Amino acid sequence: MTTLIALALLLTLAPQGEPAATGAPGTRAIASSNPSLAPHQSRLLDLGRDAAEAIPVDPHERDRARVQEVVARAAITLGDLKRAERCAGEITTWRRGAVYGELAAVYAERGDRAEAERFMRLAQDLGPRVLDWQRDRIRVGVARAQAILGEAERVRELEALVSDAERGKITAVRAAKATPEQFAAILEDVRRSTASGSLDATANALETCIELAKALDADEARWSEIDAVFAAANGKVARELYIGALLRLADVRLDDVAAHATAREKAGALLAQVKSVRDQVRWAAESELPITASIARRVARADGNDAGISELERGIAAFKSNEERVANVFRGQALRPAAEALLALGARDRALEVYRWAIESGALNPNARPRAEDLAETCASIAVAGIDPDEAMWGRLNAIRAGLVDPW
Amino acid sequence: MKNSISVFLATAGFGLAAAASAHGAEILVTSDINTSTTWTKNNVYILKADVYINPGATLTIEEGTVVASELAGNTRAALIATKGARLIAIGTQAEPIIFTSQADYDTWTPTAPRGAYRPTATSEWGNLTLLGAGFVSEDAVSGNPASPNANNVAIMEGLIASSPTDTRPFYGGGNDDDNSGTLSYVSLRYGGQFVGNNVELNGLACGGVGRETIIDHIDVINNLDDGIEIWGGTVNMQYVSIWNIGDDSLDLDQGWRGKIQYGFIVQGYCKAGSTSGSGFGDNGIEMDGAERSDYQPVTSGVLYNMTVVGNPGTGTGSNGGDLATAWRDNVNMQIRQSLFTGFGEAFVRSENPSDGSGGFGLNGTLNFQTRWSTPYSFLLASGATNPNAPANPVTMYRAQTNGNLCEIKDTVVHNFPNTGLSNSGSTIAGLPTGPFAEADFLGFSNAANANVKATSLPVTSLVRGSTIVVSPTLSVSPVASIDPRAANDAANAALVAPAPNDGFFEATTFRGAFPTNEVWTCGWTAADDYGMISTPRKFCTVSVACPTDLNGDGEVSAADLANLLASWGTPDGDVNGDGNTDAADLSALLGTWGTCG
Repeated sequence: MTTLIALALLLTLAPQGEPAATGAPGTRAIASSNPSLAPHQSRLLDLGRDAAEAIPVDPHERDRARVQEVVARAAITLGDLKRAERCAGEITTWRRGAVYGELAAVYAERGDRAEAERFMRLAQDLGPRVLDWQRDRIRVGVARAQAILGEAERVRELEALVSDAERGKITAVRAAKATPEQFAAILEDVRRSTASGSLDATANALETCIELAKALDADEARWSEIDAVFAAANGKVARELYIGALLRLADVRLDDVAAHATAREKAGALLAQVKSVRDQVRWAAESELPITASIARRVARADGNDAGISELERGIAAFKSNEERVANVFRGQALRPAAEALLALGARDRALEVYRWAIESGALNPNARPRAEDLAETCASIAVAGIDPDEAMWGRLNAIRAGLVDPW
Repeated sequence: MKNSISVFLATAGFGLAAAASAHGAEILVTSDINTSTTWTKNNVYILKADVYINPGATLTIEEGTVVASELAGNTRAALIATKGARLIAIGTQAEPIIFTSQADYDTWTPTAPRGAYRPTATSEWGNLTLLGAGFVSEDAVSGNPASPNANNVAIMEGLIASSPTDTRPFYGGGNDDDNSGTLSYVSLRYGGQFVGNNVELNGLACGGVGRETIIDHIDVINNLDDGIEIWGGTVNMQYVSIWNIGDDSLDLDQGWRGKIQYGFIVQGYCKAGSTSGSGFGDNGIEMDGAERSDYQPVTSGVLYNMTVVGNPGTGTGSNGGDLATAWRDNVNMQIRQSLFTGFGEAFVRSENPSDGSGGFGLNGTLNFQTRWSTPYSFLLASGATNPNAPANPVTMYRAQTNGNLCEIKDTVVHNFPNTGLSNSGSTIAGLPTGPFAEADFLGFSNAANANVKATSLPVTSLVRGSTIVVSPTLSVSPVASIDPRAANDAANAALVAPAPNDGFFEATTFRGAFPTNEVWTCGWTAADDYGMISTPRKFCTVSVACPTDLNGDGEVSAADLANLLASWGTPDGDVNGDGNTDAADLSALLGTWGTCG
């Protein structure tokens, strides 16, 4: 269980909402359990699931399961938990347990203890030969569900028992519910964690600080204490993680813009810091664009959508100039976050353009296995983003699905 | 090559030519694989170039398939699965997938269906390489930061990019869960193409290979460079057989963070007139990190159940032959329930570069000896002695789950004859002479570690062959045959560090790669094909072996009868386990004539 917080953080940082599927001719449709889900989102999830399940189990079981999990998690993101359960049921590897674990956590968040407990049981029915890292990946969701279902006293008992890594997670839960009077005590816990030298504790400390910051309003004295924790963590955690934490802290500032005049300026300073951290190292083109997309979303919140789009367009241009160095099977994973960000910033047409780019990049490989993976992940991404593809895009998605034939 | 008839088969994905053969059509493979394809056992595939399986493509190799490659002029002949590609090579005990040379394949006959051992044959083709997207530590590539980073890449040793935009030979990334495919029951023979001075290809090379890749039952024999080398990544392995390698038998490098169980290493030589590291076995197990050793991830792994047989020489001092284990560049390794016998130099030797450019202690990192008393959880913390640590160490460093960063426990050592060995090359100053001086300084002989310095042979039998003169001061006698089943101190162990219940390791009670009653090398390894495994057939892994199928070709036939008759009166053809080849064995063989099993 010692890896759980790190894994949870990784999942938090991972590009959200990848897969989904459409209703290609012959695609088995699943009735949505979320009444607010748009029909096109259901179709996209169906198409994504169908593309994933088209991948032959032999010899591609592990790749098939990976994208099935992506689609199932997209359904969870969209609140379609029954669909996610159906998708998970088709997975033949340990990843089924990972989806069940996540479902347990979501049901726990919804207060549905019976379903949460059912999925916790399902998740832990692992079979005979699940490796430790797979088992822990499954337990991430289960542990989260347990934490959510736990009583306050139980949480405190656990906090006294568990390792640094897990204690940090529980402290973050406490921080989210903290009263102003508890700030100093919790921050002291954070400082102790950071001073312990444990990297997990340091990462957890950042998450705790973010939770604390949400209740600070314009209390700049306390904000400076938060900033000091972040400054101390610089260099102690990997750039991707640090950037993610800084961006979420910037989000807290940006949430305050309407109420406090200085919040925008403070957020701007955090974003400048993010860019500085990003620019300290060389990134592979396929790695840098998703980070730039995340930054652009916050730049838009701070300085307007045009500024965010400009930031993102610079990243897209850089990717395009290096595109030939990126194998076609890796291009979609870079382009989808950019398209998602463009849509979020109101650039719907441009988002569609980048999605088309991702779709066509994913269709370039002469082999159906990577094309199916890309199609499933792109459908999931479009579904979560909320775009209703135009007729031409539907046609293209369906054509790619129809073309998923040998060679795999 | 037999009966070559150049008939081109045009395909969309790769260049092929087919020719009739005594063993099946010969398919010449001359260019990259862009389109997924299957190689079938009714053909023999001949690599005529470095062949990349490009991203997105899957090469499936059917059980029983032979890949017999050929070097001519300046050609190269390696098979490389790039990042994003998949290699599915799943053989069986009866029908392994064999990668070898044309020269070897030409010796295969009905009575010797997989040929006869050629002790000084090597470098006759390239190798098998898997390239993945797991984290690696590599300081030689400009721009790679010192802490784990998804952008850190390296180019595979011996491979050459054809242009500045050619990314095929690169490995490394940010996905430790990466999947490069499945290798099972694969035998690699006589490879290790010479590329340049001190640049040869390793038998099986894994660069940044992730933990969703499955590798088990791998055999390497007579490879000019290392037998298996793993650079970074998180791939695990089980059932590994490595024989007569020209450099290190097993090399773990550049931040590999994985597990290996059941490793069988027999050190030897594969090139006449060779020197250590270029035809004569160097280290049994070599463990490294990035050359600039404060880069992370650092190599951090666990080895259980290794049987490592050395090749001790007549030389003395520092010229005794081979090291059992070499430790460099901030490596952290736990070796447990293993067996080492017959090495000419030290059991444990830590080494730092003489110019101070790397090694233990660089940039405030822990020195070697401190690692033997520092809990594995040290890697989970940052600090001055752990620079460049990753953000999510419990995700990055998953292999070790208890004990200290470096340790050797529940292990038996035997026959390290070089009592006058100088240890001046160690990172630890002032060690006395002798092969165990460094190990003992590190606590090897402490009772709490449950290690044994045995006086009795810890395997069932071991026969060394004729003397090979390596240099004017060094001669060796490589292993001629071995029954590697645990014996004496290896047979049962009161364990202090049993294998964790992690879904990968299997709990055992013996030291080394084999229990007393079973061997897993029958039928698919070169050593077994060549009669170098002397274990009676009845101890072959029962689930798939047929004891009377003496040559392991899946059939009890005239070839097996010939083998049995040739072994009459010796243990070599014993199928009923009474230690002798006699009428009872003959009766058993005739009674199972035909398809085995």
